[in-house]
Amino acid sequence: MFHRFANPTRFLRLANAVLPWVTGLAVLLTGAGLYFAFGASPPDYQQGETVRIMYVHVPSAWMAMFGYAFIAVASAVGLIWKHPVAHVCALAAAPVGACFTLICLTTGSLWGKPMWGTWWVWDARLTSVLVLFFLYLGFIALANAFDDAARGEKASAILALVGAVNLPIIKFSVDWWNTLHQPASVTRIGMPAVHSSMLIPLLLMAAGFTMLFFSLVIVRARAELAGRRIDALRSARIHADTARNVADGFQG
Amino acid sequence: MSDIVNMGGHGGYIWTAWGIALVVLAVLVAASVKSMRARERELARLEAEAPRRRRRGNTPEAGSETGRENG
Repeated sequence: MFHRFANPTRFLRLANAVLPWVTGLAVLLTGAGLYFAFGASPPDYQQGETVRIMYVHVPSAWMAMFGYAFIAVASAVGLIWKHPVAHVCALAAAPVGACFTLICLTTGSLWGKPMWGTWWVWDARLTSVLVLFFLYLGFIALANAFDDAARGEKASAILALVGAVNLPIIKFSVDWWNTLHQPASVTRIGMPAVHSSMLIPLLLMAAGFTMLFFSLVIVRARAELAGRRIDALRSARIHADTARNVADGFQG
Repeated sequence: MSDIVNMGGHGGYIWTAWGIALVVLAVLVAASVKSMRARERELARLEAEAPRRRRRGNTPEAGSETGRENG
């Protein structure tokens, strides 16, 4: 299935066809999510109005993990099948995932202060998400650290795969260790422990953020592919100019 | 209205959280779109330039070595 999109031209044709739809859906779903988050959902019986931070915090956390899983899969595809578009997609997704992780951390901190009485604790859940943020930054830095783009791709892809162990650690940290952070209440076996009035805005925001993620990945992948074409054209031109100068030199 | 701003005394936390999310995402979207437009414009310019160069390079070749000797 991946093979069909390994060709940048075919990938771009598909991506451009999809782009207006995911962008439109991102706006619609996030808009609906905001309406339910602020207008049509009640305050929590324990947490009061601060529960409204949940509607940005939890979907951001999901996107932070989804984004990293996306990068790990794309990196694996790039390493195994040598698909150039896979690395481009991984590189395009990294800043998007990093931004969602940053939002998750800051909104969590702003929720923790009124509810737990502290901005931050070094417990398993919070620390593993902070590690995720640094993994994103490391991936971006490593991908851009080499003059030879292919070496940067390989090194960063390996980092992405090694760092993927952090994902199950984040997911199960609330069950494995004692923590201030509450355990999962939506992705439980059986029924979610969240009332539908709060589940609806949560899922709408998550769906909207997912669409925004793909919209941004497409935009950034287009920029990355255009950048590579520019570099290729420029170096081809420099080679052509040098060859012409050498030829002229021999003649003169 | 003041209920919405105040949010049961936690308005500061709630609106700062949403504000940060909005600003981070807005900056990300703006930077991504700007970079895509700039690079695609640059690429279009280079690609429009390339055939002209090749044609210029080809013209002397059509007239064999004369073009180069004059140049």
